[in-house]
Amino acid sequence: MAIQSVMIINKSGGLVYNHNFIEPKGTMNSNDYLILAGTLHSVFAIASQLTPKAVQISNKSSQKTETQVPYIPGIGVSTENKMAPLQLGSFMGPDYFQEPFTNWNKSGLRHMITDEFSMFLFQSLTGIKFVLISTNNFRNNTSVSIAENILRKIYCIYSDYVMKDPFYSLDMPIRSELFDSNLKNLIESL
Amino acid sequence: MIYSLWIFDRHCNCIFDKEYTVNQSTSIVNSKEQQSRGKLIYGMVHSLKAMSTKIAPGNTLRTLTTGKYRIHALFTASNLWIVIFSDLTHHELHERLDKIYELYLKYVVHNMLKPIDLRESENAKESDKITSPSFIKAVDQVLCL
Repeated sequence: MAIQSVMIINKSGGLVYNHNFIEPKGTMNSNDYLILAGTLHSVFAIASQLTPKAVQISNKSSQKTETQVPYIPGIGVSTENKMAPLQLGSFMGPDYFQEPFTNWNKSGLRHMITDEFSMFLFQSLTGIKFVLISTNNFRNNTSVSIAENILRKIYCIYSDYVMKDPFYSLDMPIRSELFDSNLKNLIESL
Repeated sequence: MIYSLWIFDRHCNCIFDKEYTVNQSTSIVNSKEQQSRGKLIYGMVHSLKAMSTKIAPGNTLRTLTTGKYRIHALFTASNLWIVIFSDLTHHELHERLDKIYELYLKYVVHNMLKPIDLRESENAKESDKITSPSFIKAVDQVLCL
């Protein structure tokens, strides 16, 4: 799974962070990225409006389990030398988290498959969207869980190095070297 | 379960819609209430399609997944869109999308009594819809496998 880019969209639809690990095939200027973020944000809202009637009618108990994402061990953390202290910021222990978690994105867009790439969206409870573009197109549930695990880890790094930065003002573009390097480490160790 | 089927023509109009409500036996075909819904679907798929070709030229959109349903889309060279809403158990519906396109060719395009474009005049506010009972019946057979 090669990661093409990581994007962070704030709760009002503005792009606050974008990093391309592999340059996209098409030419994209910074304005295009802002449009992309805005499009995703609005499509996200529309998608929840389009819930089919059959789902609205059916009982809601069956949908509860679908928002739980299982924890998949060994993603983005080196397991080779267990003795060496792990660089996980303020997170203790072998991994950022070790339990299944909730994707708060319950009715919005979560996953998009095209011929060239796949896009995954993870939304936090506070409404920040983490977008991951990978170069392969995956169709099975496991790969979606893996992507959501990666996104949750990016959220962990975000909360550590962006939210705890006293000079960061909320909803503004992220310019943090620490965040950059930690994100790069995570993606490279995949 | 398949939730609904939508067909859009090259004028961005919804020319056919069919929504299954409780189970596969009850359905609504070409309902007036669904018009605004059709426009929303068209807009959503269109913007995501434009976005995916921007990132990688020549790219085509396949499926979209949300927390509750999945959208499968087929775009033909004549700019006809076939969109299916299904539940999360269907990962791949491209065979069925192709079959529906074949049915469209058989019952709509090859039908001499149907106009080439379902919108006959430029001034017409609403486009005509596919009402052929044999098409609806055949679509039912494909979707309710």
